[in-house]
Amino acid sequence: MQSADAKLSQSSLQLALRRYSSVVRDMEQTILLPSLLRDVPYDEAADCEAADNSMDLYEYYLMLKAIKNTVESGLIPHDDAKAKSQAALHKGLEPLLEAQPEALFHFHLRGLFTVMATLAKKSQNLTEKYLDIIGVSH
Amino acid sequence: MMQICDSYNQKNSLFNATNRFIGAVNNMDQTVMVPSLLRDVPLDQEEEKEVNTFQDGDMYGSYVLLKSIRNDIEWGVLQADERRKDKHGVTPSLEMSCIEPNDEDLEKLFHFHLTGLHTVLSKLTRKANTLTNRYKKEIGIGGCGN
Repeated sequence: MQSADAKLSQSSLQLALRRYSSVVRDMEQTILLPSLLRDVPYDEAADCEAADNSMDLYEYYLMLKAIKNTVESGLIPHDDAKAKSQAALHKGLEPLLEAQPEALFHFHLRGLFTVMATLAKKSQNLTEKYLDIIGVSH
Repeated sequence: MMQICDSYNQKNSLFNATNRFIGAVNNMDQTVMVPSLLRDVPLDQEEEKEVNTFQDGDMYGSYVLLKSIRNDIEWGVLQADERRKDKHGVTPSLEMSCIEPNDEDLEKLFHFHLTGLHTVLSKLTRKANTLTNRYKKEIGIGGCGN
């Protein structure tokens, strides 16, 4: 029973967001020379298709930091292009907002949980990769 | 560290949207001492103008729904899924696919879900406040005087 409760409280939304923030802060504090991440491919084992489009570690690092800032401080990014491209997506879901807000809520909540967990893991991987680059054992 | 505390106070953050929603539902929960009074109370004339909102329910249905969503935020998705499976025997139709999104999609997905969640929560916060006020009207408090 205790472990089930722990599992539940671990998955609460605010904890998930805080965990992500904390992992990224750890990454920022570890990576003192972010420029070392330039031109380092994210995943050496990536298949050819992914490799063409993937960001290098430095771009990844910036993205993870930007997401942390969004989570902590502001909701709406000041990127009009991004907002426009998503406007159509949200518009498509509008009927659901009216008729089944619960379903839409769960869709976004689950989605956000999944994304935050994945991003947190990737932040940790990136931090470890940096430590590899500078030759620190971890 | 202070910086983070300040930024949590910023109006638009998801933390604040979540807290506002939870606060509104807690307020509703504490005000509505006799939930059964909400049964068969039709949704407001004003509310019906918001197209089809909670169309099939009465105020009691809205009340239960809002509390359930508050619990989902506080206790997480795992429990919510378990409860829905018990109730319906199936997982919801909007189930996320198990395909791992690629790296660039992750950022887009993050913004999509964050904005979507914010929109739903804002709407539901208004619902909770409206319901609380409606209840007070029903039982004759907070109106033009008892």
